[in-house]
Amino acid sequence: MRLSRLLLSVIAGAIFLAARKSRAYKRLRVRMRLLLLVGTIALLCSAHAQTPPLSASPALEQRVADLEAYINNSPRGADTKSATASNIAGPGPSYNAWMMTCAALVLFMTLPGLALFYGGLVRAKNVLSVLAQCLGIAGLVTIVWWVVGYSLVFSRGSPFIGGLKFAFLHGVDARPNSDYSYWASQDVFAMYQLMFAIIAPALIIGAVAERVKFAAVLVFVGVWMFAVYFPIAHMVWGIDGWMNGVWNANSRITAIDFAGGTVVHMSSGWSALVLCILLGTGSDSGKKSWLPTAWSFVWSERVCSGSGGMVLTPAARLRQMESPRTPL
Amino acid sequence: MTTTLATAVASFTWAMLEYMLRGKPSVLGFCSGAVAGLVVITPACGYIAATGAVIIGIAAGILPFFACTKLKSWLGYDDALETFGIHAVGGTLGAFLTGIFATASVNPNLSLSTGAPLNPATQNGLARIVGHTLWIEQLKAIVVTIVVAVVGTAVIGALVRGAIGLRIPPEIERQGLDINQHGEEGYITS
Repeated sequence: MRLSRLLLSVIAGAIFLAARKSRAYKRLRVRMRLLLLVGTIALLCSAHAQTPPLSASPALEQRVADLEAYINNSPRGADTKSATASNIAGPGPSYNAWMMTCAALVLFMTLPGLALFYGGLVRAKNVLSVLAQCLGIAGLVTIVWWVVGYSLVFSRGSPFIGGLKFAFLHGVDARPNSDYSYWASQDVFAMYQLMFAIIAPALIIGAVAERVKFAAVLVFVGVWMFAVYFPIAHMVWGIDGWMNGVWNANSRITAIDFAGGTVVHMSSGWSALVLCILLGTGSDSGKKSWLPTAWSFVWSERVCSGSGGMVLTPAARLRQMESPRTPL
Repeated sequence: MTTTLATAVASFTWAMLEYMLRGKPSVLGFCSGAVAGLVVITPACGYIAATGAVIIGIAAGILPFFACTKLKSWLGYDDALETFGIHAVGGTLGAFLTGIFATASVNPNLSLSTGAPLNPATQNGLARIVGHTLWIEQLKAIVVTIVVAVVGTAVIGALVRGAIGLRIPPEIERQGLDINQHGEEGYITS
């Protein structure tokens, strides 16, 4: 690199000198000077843009292997113990783009999907209450997730609950957390997982709609996340989880759950049963006509959840969480 | 692919069951069936092949359907929008069927690896039981999940009921929650 730069400067210098001596080239002198100036600036810029070489500069084979790792979603040089550091330092842009897309789609399942679906199924006088409950849960869970929720689910701790390493999303930045993904940034991953934490309690609303206090929903969900969702999610998806058969080599129950059958649907569904029994039958539940107030609401759910979120969500997890782990 | 198949099959199955039993297939039936299909395929979608997905879709159209139509009136709980019938029954069914249909040919994480650093699934024995007795492990996970959810919710629910009350008064319930709890109305009827 240095040699070629030197060569270029020599050639440029020679041309410049030739231009000065020969009268025939007088007209070109200004242009040549300009060219020289531009060339010098370009050389300076290229020298500036070059990142300083890593301590152990990777050989060509290693660099090709890094590209293959990107395509295969397997660990790159920097992630393995033996190889030299990778030239590709940051996260993989395509993985992040896909993760963000899926995070948005999973959020669409709750807002507006679930909110409008449940809103469309209750009577006109209760539509807004369902929307308010979904919005309230989404906000509350996001705050809890930032404070300690993500950490309790995805940091290493006991088999039953995670630790506090990532509390307040401390240290959750653009670098991938190789416990869960080799190429997607951990902050993107944390937001993707947040969307699952939002929809689980929002599903419970369906069992208690039309007769529950708004304040009771917020208090219940705030406690329920800690008592039910975080422990189950850590047990099933945490890297050292008790029931994580796919990732944890020491799991006691070697069960598998791809996208939340136990974590999201069973936890919310069974909780919904208990809660609606505690709540009692609606005072005029026998008179319900079950004519949804707006079918478009239902179709919004179908479009958002059916063709969007849930279909693509597993694909995201396929790439990010359950990707084939090549031997380290 | 598996998710799309199961959703479509479950949606169709649910509505056709309605057609047979009630004489009329409803749009709500198609929607509920689709949601049930999505729920049941959730734990399985990355581990199963196409045929398994279709079978899961059929099961998703049948079992949650009867949970919503028969079990609910039989047990007498008031699950307003079928969260239990679709998500709990469907989720449990899906977790169990994952144990039946999961195959290592779809997801290499479940395969036995023989290289020096082993797959976690090889180390903890999961790879050896896939396709044989994985459903027993799934049942254990189901039991743990149900116990945590039911006990947790019962305790929290009772506490919240004691502290601030879960339920709104009946006269407000008749008036509607929108105007009383949130001070606004979505639809001005009458």
